[in-house]
Amino acid sequence: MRSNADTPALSRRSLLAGSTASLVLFGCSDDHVIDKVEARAATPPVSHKMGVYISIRDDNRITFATPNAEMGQGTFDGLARMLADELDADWEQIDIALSGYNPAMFNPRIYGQTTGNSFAIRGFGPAVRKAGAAARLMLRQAAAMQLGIPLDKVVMSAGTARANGTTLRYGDLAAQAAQLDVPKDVPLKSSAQFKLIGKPFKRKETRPKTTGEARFGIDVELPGQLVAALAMPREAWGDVTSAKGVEQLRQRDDIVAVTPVTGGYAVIAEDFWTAKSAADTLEIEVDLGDEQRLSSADLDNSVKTAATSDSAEAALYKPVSAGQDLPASRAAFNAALTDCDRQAEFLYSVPVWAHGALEPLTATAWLEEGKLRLWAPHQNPKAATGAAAKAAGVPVEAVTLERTFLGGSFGRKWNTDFVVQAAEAAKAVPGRPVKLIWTREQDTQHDFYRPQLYGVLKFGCDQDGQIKAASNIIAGQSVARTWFGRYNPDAPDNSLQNQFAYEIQNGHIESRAVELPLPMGWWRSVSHMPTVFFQECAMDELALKAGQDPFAYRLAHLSDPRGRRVLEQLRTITADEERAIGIAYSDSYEGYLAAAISVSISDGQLHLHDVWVVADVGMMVDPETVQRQISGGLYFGLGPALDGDMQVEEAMITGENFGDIGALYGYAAPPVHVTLIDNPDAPPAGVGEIGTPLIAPALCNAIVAAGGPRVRTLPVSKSELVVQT
Amino acid sequence: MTKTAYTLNINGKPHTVKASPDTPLLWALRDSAKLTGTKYGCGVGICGACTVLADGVPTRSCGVPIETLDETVAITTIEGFAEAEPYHPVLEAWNEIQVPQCGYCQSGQILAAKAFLEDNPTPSAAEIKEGMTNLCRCGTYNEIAAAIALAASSLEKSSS
Repeated sequence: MRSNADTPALSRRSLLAGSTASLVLFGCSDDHVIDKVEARAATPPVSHKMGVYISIRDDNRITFATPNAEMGQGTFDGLARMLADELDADWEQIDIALSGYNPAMFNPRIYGQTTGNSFAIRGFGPAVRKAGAAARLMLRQAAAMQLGIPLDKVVMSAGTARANGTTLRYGDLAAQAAQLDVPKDVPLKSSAQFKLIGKPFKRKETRPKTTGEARFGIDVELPGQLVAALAMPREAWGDVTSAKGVEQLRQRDDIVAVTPVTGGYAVIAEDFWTAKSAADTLEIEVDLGDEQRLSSADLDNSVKTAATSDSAEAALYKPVSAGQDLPASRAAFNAALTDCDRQAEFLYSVPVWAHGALEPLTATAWLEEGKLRLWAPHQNPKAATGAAAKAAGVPVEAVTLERTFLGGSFGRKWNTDFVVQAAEAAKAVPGRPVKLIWTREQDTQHDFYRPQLYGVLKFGCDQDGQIKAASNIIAGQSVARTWFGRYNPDAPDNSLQNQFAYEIQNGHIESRAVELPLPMGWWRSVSHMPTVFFQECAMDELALKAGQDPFAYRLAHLSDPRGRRVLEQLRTITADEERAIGIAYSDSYEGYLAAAISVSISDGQLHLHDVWVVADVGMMVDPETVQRQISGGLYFGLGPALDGDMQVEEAMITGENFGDIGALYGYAAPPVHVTLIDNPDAPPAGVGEIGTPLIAPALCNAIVAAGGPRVRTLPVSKSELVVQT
Repeated sequence: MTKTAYTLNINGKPHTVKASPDTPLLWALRDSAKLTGTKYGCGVGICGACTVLADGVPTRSCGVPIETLDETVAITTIEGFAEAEPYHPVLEAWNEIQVPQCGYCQSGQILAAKAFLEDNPTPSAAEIKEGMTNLCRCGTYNEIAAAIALAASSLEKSSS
């Protein structure tokens, strides 16, 4: 336990807002913040640390050091609420600070501090609840000692310990409590005891995010700071070999430095526009090595051939078996298929998609006296810190990272490329901080893309249409291969994770990894989006062939009561809808979702009307956030389902900006109506990605219901229909 | 490149920027005036993250070279708009509905909404949907619509 004096960092608005709006710290204690500091009192309050997550000051403010990135998914507030509830704190006394890399902040579900796979509430949630409960017990012990009474006589509530008519604030107890050992295995509250979890409280980041005060990566401002823009090649892969025009720039008075960085050249100036205009004059060349100038047709052909090939030994792909006995399950499927009255086979595909976070990639690095300081909007602080240390040539212990809010990410800011470039740029201007900012065009053309995937789904059914055998084969590039740079066919590969959402007899599931040079990354909902699209379109096609209602057909293959309930409620909600609807169902991230969309088609134009969702996501920390993650997630999937298709021409991405990635605008977004099932005693599901997969299959099923074509290849704009995004 | 001094009128105060004439207002605001609430998103005027008010007109500042501006054009950024006490009903509505997710587009959305309601104080749901053309990658469109409807009703009450 240690105590240290902090300087309070207060913004003007926080002071004005007084006690009604809690102050939010954004990685305080640095010069750039101190610039704005208005001290609350002449004597700075003393802060007492209680474990890795909690600091309580003697002025009764409590700071929660959140381990997670905040990129719009709401866990900044959600985890704080989980901790504060167990702590029995007053919500108004809680401040939240974004943590850099801290190995003691360990999410057991994702093996570290990474923000990903919708694991924050599920993985860090229990850890911060335990931390809150432990600190509450320490404060209670301190109160019992101060008052000289047994522990069980002390009542803890709303940031106070009370007994015998005396009320002690947590701030009064923190100094003593912090000296105590942190207790282990303190019991957690039951859902009936929650005061904050599941209740309608105002989210703390809302106000700064409406006033311009919230600090994103691109907003970092340090004394003497320079700005770097990049010159990057047009090619999406290959090694940079040379740059034309570097010497001319180096002669210029307004250019501070031009330096090679991984993937291009950084041009450093006093401001972004000067740096960017200069960087635009450079011509960067690459060596593609053995990897040819492939185009979309080549990539498509490779993935399609891998998916449709009958030979498991084909050199086209590597099977991802993860312990499965693929020959045995394939044989069982083939044997069962011969006994089936009806057979059906469908081929689906989803194209390459981009992330398109609104805040482009950006990071700030400051290399001084062997120490590297980083500021970045990042999902993966350990990787960012390690990669930057290597790039700057300093030991990892010499690196500190302060995280900012992320202006969107969707998986892109998990990668370290832009942080490495910032560190490399900092080497060229030692002693001065440098903020690197990508352009939108670079962000679009040098993404780690969501892979193109093909799905081959074969079914054998009985006379009533009931599935008796099924084979589900997907093929595509492996994200794990791109990121980890190695390939282990026996290890789980969640970028090619495939499953059936229904109880299927004689089911054969197979994933095939195709080696291609386009960089691949984690994209909101990863492989769930393509696999749910394949399966939910197939279920509708089978229902139609069997002459059955899409709800009834799914329910006939599903016994899980939580899954049945969301489908049955959705059927009730949409029963009176006069327009054509399409539905989709999925269980992922430990939650259950059913979605429907109503559409109409007139003169070849597709019109979207309403979306309904029924969700059972177990315990909800903030139901409003859950609802918005689901609607936002649906929209994130809807735009590219309508019109997202990153085309490659001779190794170059042809798209440049938001108009080329299927970004959905408000005028094209149908209202989303979310019904949340109350199920507080079930474990919380991850909700940040859960909505994204459902909209494409629901939409394609609705198009058929409205008399349109069956779209098996996304995006819908490739069909004869006219769409708007 | 030759840099020239331009004096702009930002949030009611003069601010002198020394920059090349083609420097977009966006970057003058961010890098010179240090007003970072105005965001860079697309650079070509299609996302609206850089929206400011120029004499009250919503303007995508990434496409306005500073050489086209002078002190006669009153620029309002989100920082200037949020200085008002009490908050403007649009800002109150944004907080009441808790619109933001990541928050990056919201400065531009708020200023666009403020100008939109001046043009159309009693918009229908369809008019809100058609009239708001700023991009939100988190998909807060339902909440933006709700906040504009709420602000419209507050403005109507305060003016009647």
